Amino acid sequence: MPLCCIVPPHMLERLAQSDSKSRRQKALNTLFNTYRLSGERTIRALTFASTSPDTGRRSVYDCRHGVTLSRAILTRTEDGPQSTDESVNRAFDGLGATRDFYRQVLNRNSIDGNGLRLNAYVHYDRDFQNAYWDGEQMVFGDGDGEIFVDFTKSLDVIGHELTHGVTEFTANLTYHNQPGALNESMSDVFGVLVKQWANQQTAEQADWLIGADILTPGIAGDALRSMKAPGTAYDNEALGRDPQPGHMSGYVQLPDTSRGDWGGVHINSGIPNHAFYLLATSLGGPAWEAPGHIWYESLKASSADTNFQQFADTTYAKAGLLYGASSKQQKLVSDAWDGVGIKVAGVNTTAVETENTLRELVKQVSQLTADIASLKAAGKG
Amino acid sequence: MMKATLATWGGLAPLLATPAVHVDDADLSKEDAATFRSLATQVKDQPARPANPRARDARSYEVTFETPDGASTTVEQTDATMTPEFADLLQFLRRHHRRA
Repeated sequence: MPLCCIVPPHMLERLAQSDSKSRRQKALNTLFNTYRLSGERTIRALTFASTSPDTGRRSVYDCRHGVTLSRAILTRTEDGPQSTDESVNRAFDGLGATRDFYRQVLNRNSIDGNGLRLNAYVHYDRDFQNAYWDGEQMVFGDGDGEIFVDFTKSLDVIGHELTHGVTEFTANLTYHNQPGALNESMSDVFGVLVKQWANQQTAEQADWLIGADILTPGIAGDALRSMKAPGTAYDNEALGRDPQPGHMSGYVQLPDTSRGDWGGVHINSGIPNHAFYLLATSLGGPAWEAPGHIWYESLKASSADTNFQQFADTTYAKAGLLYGASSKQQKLVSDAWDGVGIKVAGVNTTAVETENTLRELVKQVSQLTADIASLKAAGKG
Repeated sequence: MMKATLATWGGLAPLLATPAVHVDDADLSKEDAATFRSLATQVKDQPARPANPRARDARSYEVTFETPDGASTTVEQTDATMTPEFADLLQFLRRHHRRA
């Protein structure tokens, strides 16, 4: 279906090259949305070339094993030289890869959509076995060397944490029960997409693991989570067994408390994670294209209390908007959710039936027209 | 005489088993026991710190102090709001738990 736009595309493209930052950004947003809705992807290069490079500037600080971020030392900046500390450089590069993914693939200007500066803190505490987002910046531990290594080694972990910021600035999914599990799932989905995009891996080539690079070789386990096969990432004495379900039949009810992981937000995220994996692998090719766009548009259209069913319905509606009603993408979205035990409520069978009926009617009218024409011709003869 | 138990949960991978850490000052050298009591006093005297509601994947730590008279005090902090004194105590507990 052709799209109508009051400003012609060539004029928008000219505006996208404008010296005015605000004019340029507005034109780019319009162009992006226009082309995206018509299924065009060539806008990406133009977007990249024209977006101001001074957005999402990075700074990496060294905590020197302390826990007070205000006492950390600024070690690398956007304009400064490389550090001699590999943790600093990995954090810097990971922030950059995530920022570039959001900018080039999803046309998002940094975490907040408005060029937010990206700050990371490395060497936090001693033997610190974690990485977290504190609402404003990322913090990385060095690991204990027994189970975990330096958390800056995992690009999907960096993408995961920064996506918590994206979620906060968009749907702001509350961190409890199903909305919380969706919040975690968004971080896993876009974290893994950052890695796949940076490595130019297709859905078939990717390992779909989260945190595979931060477990020590001595630990018998693949990763922290598997989107391909939730519940199989690890199983050993030291870590226990991966408890993630990949289907609603395995949904885990836990108390909505800190000790209960706020209702199992890191457990039940396996269900939407696996739905995304099913969609990406059934469509094939780069998962950051149609699957990533459908999920991103659905995240933006969600709200704090969105649950699995509502999110699934939204992805179905967005697939229809982006790629057409009854498109292959829309059908596979429905199939993917079906695969994890969620029936998409938005499957509009009436619309499909109406379309089929209309197609049939058009065929019949054409046939009748042809019959009349041949009758007329016979009559003349 | 004092014992401390550290429980840890949450984080990027909150379900990985994190065993509790136990330290008893009876097992420590005189010098370490003094350090232990000093750190415990500093941490117990600190006002409670509210959790950061915007933090994601932060870990929580709960230290329970017990004395022979049966009294117990519990202090809880998280990664995103941890004081340097609490961090020092965690490091001390982990280090001395390993030796015990």
